[in-house]
Amino acid sequence: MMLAAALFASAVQAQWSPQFEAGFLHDSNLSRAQRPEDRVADAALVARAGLVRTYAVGDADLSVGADARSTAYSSSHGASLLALGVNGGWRRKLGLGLSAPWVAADASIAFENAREDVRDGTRGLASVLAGKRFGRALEASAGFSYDKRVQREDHAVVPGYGGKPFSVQGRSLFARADYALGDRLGLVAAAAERHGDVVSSTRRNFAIFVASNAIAEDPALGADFIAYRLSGGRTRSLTGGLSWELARRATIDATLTKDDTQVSGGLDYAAVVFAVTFAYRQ
Amino acid sequence: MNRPLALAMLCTISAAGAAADLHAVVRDEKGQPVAEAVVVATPEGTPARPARTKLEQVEQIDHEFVPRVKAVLVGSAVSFPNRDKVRHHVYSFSSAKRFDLPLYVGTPAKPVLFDTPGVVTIGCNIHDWMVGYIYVSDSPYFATTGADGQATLAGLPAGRYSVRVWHPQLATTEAATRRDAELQTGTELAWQLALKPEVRIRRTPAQGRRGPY
Repeated sequence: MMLAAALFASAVQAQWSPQFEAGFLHDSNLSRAQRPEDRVADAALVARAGLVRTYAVGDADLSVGADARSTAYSSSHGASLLALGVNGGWRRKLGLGLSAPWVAADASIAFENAREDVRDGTRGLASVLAGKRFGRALEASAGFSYDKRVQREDHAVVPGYGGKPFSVQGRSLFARADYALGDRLGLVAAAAERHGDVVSSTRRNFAIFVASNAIAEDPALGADFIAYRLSGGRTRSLTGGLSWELARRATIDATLTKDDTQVSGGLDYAAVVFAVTFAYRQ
Repeated sequence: MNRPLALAMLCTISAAGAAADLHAVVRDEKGQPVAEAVVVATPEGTPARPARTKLEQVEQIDHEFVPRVKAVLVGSAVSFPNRDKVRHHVYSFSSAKRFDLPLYVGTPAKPVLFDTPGVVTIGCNIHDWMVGYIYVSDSPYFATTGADGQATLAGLPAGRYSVRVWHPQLATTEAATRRDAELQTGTELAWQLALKPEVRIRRTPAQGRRGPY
């Protein structure tokens, strides 16, 4: 009741803040395939628009928001998608001052509609994290997240195998550091390790067929591509990047992420994602 | 990015009977005007004319302190009205004044008294990028440069002064900027001082984009 009263009182004061992102990315292995002949590299234009509203709850901030996101691949048109989602976050500082540690929790859910129906689904992400600033130049954070994606329709093609390879879930530990090199330029470094299901799309491949537990055709990457869900995967990600502050509310970021995924049976694969993003947040 | 900047300050003091105006121009080494520099003139030999403090104000507008640099006379009270629709939590750990105004909207009931000369760095505990400075002057003769890098100290009593400049990015000590000026002579003074690069906390943090797993 008190929380509801606080939310109501804050709603009178709060206001919606717009956020925009637009950018380009290149994925060296969109198919997440092991064999070179199955790897599909592609580039995409990405855009996101959202609204966020912040409420004061006690000593913490609670935010709610909604956003629309699109990814348009230059060749793999079937993987292009439009997503609509809602998100929420809670953040509280544990003390007074710039270097006081903080804790946060975030959750989001998005409904994704891809050109190829097999890739339609709902994606959810929940995370808890803690961070601390070390002076004005450095901020570090670390946390845990749980992700889950539910494929909307069953596209079974093999008897005895589920037809929802894009229904996956995983748990991640992650850490991140942002370091200011000067008044406008910043460095970003992040690392993550995720354990859970992964999806590898390849042409017919007996080894991956045996190891998988859900299979469906994946025409987004080619007429003869099949998506295989593999459980027990471990993905280690390293991200490095530069961020240029155009104005107090706008940045251009360039990041390079290297993913190395290990799956039982030796079905390992790697991917490198390069992204350049313009972001504006009011 | 880390290139040293230089600050050039030109002061012209002109006498007009028993009072004079001091006009200061502050520029960096590239000749660009430097805003938010505090110019302070301290009379030498004779005490400063008694001055009455007034209620000063540093607002919070659009999640920033306005003005970002505020010069006040020692003994002044400063109010921190929040013009935003979100709460702010203003604080300072500076030795010249430690205070804490827990989360609030509107105008706090009590202004904060600044009774020790020095520089007070203020922040918001919710929005880390909000940083401001209150320069508490022990002399009543001070002014802050505008966007054109200029400031005027009007109506100073004639006499000998030491003039100093302070800026958030000043690379040297404030004392190192001291220049002496004799009011009656109309002395023209110039300084070249290095400025440190400013490390600002971002309002828009860098993005972290991912591909599929």
